[in-house]
Amino acid sequence: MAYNRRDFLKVTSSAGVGLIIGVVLPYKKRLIAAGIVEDSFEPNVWIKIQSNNIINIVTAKSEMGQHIRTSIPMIVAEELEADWSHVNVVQADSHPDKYGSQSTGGSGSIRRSYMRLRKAGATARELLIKAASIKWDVPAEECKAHMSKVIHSKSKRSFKFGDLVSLAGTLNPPKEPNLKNEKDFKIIGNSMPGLDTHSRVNGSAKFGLDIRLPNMLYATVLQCQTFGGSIKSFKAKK
Amino acid sequence: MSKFKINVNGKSHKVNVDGDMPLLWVLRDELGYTGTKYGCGRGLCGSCTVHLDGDATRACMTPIENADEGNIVTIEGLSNDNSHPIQKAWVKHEVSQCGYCQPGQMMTAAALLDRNPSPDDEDIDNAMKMNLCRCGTYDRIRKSIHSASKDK
Repeated sequence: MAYNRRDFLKVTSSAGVGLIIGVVLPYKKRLIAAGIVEDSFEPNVWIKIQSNNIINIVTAKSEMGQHIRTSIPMIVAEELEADWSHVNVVQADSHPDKYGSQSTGGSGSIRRSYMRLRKAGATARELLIKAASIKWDVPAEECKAHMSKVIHSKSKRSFKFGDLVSLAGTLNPPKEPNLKNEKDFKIIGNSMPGLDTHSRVNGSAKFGLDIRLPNMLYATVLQCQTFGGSIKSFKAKK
Repeated sequence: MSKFKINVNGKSHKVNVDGDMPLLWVLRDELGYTGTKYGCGRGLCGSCTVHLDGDATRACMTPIENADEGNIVTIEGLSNDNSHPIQKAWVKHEVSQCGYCQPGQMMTAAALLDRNPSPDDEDIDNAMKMNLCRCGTYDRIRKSIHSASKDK
């Protein structure tokens, strides 16, 4: 199984669609307990960079007003050197086999995933830089990423991230990507425009109450009118 | 069941429902305007606030028969591009935390500015005090109303 390595990076690409980088991390106890595999996952991160430069960052945590749908993408975007205005947050399906624990609470989402989110972003950045360096036939060390572009200062050339997705998807990810120096942070530690801000001022933000599914049924709690009462009988009828 | 006619955000709708069905249910369940939120169902929290003929109204406590032939504006109808001064101010000041009460807050605030373009703190507090926010965004709401007032 592919799951038997402690840390592995899986890169897949679909020609013309985008570069998808997933970092699947150890979350041993859960999967062992569930009897699924020997190894296990912690909350994982998906980055999908589209050829139109839109960067989709998945969060597998639940939004409750703590703005986790902004703060998780911030960490990834920092290492990725993404232009924040290109970043789009995508909510993960409920899929703990794929994402590890999706429970959200105890102020632990950032704490438990911070380094892994940074590595996910850094891996993507290094692959994009490598792709640009191959296209230009220059050493990768001469290139840097900035605001959703890879730049070669010597020759004053640049590629948008979107131009590099096809090639970047074919490259092997670095074993251990180089993380940014914290003093160079531009996003982490700063107040960024919330990714859900606009949808929350025009009624388009979807809350649990707003979900409509085909043939959806509604249930409500019927409370006993006598304090301390219990059910004598129950007849389910349509 | 009876037939009622309401105008929502400039669009005319006919609905065939019980006369005592709350306007909120008509908006959300019959017509799909889910931007307006259900909070308490008793007119206590303000999350269901819409404009009915220009007045901030609790949709959860308004039977549809009392809104017949009415002109309703919901959060979706403030603008089609987030350009209403209240929307711009809410974005600028990042008012929303969870965001659930904000459609009601914004509709109350918009109605306030319609009748009082330059409210002071007391006017704002009086107008907004029946809209509850469990995240506690009141300070930013007040700031935003002041900034929308200047923008108007």
